[in-house]
Amino acid sequence: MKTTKQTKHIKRTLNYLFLCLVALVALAPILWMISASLKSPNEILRYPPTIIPENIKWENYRAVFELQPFTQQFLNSVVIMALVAVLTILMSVPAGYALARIKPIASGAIFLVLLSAMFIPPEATIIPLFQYAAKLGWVDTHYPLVVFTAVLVTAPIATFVMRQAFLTLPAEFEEAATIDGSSRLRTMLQIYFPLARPSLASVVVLSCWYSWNQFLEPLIYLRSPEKLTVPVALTHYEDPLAGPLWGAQMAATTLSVIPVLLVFFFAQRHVVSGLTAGGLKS
Amino acid sequence: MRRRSFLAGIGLVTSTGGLAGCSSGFTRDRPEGDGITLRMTMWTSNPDQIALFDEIADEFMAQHETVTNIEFESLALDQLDMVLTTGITAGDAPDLTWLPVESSLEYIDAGALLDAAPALSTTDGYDLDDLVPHLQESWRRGDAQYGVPFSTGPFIMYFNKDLYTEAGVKSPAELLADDDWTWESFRETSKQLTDATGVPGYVVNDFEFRNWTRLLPLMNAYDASPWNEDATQCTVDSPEMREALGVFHAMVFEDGSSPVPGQQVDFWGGQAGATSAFLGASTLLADATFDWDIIPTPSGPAGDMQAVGQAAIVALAAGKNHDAALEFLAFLTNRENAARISKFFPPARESLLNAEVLSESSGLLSAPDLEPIVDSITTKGHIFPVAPNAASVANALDSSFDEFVYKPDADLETSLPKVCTAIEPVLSL
Repeated sequence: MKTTKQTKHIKRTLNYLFLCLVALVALAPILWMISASLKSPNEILRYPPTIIPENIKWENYRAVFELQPFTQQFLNSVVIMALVAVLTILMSVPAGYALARIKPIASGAIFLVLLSAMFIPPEATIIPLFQYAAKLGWVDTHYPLVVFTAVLVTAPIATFVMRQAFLTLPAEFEEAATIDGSSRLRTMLQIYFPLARPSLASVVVLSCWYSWNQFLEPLIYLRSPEKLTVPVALTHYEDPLAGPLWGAQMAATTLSVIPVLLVFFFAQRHVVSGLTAGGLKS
Repeated sequence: MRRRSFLAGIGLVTSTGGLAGCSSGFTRDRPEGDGITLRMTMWTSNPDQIALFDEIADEFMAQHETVTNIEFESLALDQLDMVLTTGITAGDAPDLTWLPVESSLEYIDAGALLDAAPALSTTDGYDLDDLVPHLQESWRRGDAQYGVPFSTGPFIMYFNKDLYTEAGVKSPAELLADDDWTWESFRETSKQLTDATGVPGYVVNDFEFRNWTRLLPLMNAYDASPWNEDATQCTVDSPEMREALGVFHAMVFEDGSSPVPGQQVDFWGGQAGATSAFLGASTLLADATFDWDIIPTPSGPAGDMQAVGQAAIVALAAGKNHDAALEFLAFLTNRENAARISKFFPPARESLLNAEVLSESSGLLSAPDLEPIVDSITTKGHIFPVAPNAASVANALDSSFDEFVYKPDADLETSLPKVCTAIEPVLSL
């Protein structure tokens, strides 16, 4: 009995040690980034690298705001991300519900078209979309980053996720609601929508993640520094002759990554359960 | 409950951000009226540099009432081609841009640049003759001038004086004083330094075996170039290139005095005896914990030849306001404004190309340090070789060097012709 307990204990310790090691591999770049954000360029480039900075350089963080309107750029990313998420939900929930429950004519073909749209790289569509944006007067505004992204990229992916989620829910709910006189819209909003919450959370996180990381589109559509988003702004911490301003770049990256990490940390349970929601079909 | 508060918090932050951000992000700020708006792209976000360009733009608009707005759009150099080609294809190109010399031929051949010569020659007090002729070659075709260089920076050799003292080896400055500053003798002292200290004697800055232009100081010293004068034929397999790359290959794979592919070594952190880098890179030495110095890069069989990088301001044919763009180009690069811009970038005007002006732009380097460097730009400077399809040729060259040359057992006699086979189809496109 004692031996079994001991073996269990050893196994658990080894397990944790292994997990710590894996976590360290994932965390090391983040730790290095935070540490580098407090170092001089000289110390950042030193080999072997130091973890604790010799002289803490808070001025790197000051430089982030001196060199760029970083607060505005950060807010731009947050606003675009939030609007993309809202627009994605508004489009994907009814679309997913229709594909899963109402199944209109050619729903299979529609679903296939939606799926194939997910695989078109942004490089292939950027020029026609840019021409379209220029005609609409949307260049150097956030409209294309919200509308094009939500309509062409995140909503099709989200529709797929929501369709799978609605498929897993029993059809009997709908029958019962119809007998009680509920309309389709009400059934969707009041019965199915609350039950699909984990998938909804995953749709929110996925669309936020996609929008936050977009690089090519803001690079092409935006021009004014105060309208840029974080990923493009990060590339601007560079001297034209000396190259990257590592300290400021690392400090800006740290400032931009931490809030996202916090959101993901708290929402990750929903993301995983949402993604696995379509795995079992009733 | 807690989670709800958290989610509500996120919602609140987002909507606050939304209110703050919506006001500016969804409108395009441009002055109203019929005035011309000029757009210019540049690979700097340095507030001081942008402020200077804004100042010059304000002065230009004060003199030219038809132009009511000039927008400077910052990006990174490696984003330039993507942004320009998308803008040109979609009919929304900027009016002017900074352009690196490597791309000059490609853009001129494509008819993408406007001839600025008529505008320059008719601008009062422009002083066209002050532009150093051999530093304009890449931008001139006959009488036409497709761009005016605003930054002409040479590669120089930085070395760690402490490491040379510790190793008891003749430093590059001593070799120069002995009139023995050649790649061969530098190879020897680098090996001695590596043997004595264990650190590489020489590292090519910003190279990492994927940026062939960083080897130009060595290639120029041996009169080697990857292609002939008019960029129609590959010359990587020439005896000159074999000799030049032979020195580099031996330093990396025989002597061990330069890092092998994949090995991370940084001169600025004190991990190497010397590095060849742009003059402007001296700012990386602001917090250096070691004593350092600079001299021109070593000479070779072709003599004392210095590799010089360059960027120009050009007006794009796809821009919407040709005349205004050319007038602004002339205004930006006139003698007075070139002097102001030279605070940040080494100029290509005879009257400004002196050690005093360069020491101001470098910040860390003194005028006496820079005397030989200035001499090297004006008399021995070789601007980067240019080719059509610059980006494709550079990619082909870097990947074929990586495949055939940067190997311990590479036989340059047989591997360099393979490089030519790889890049010739791209060169002749």
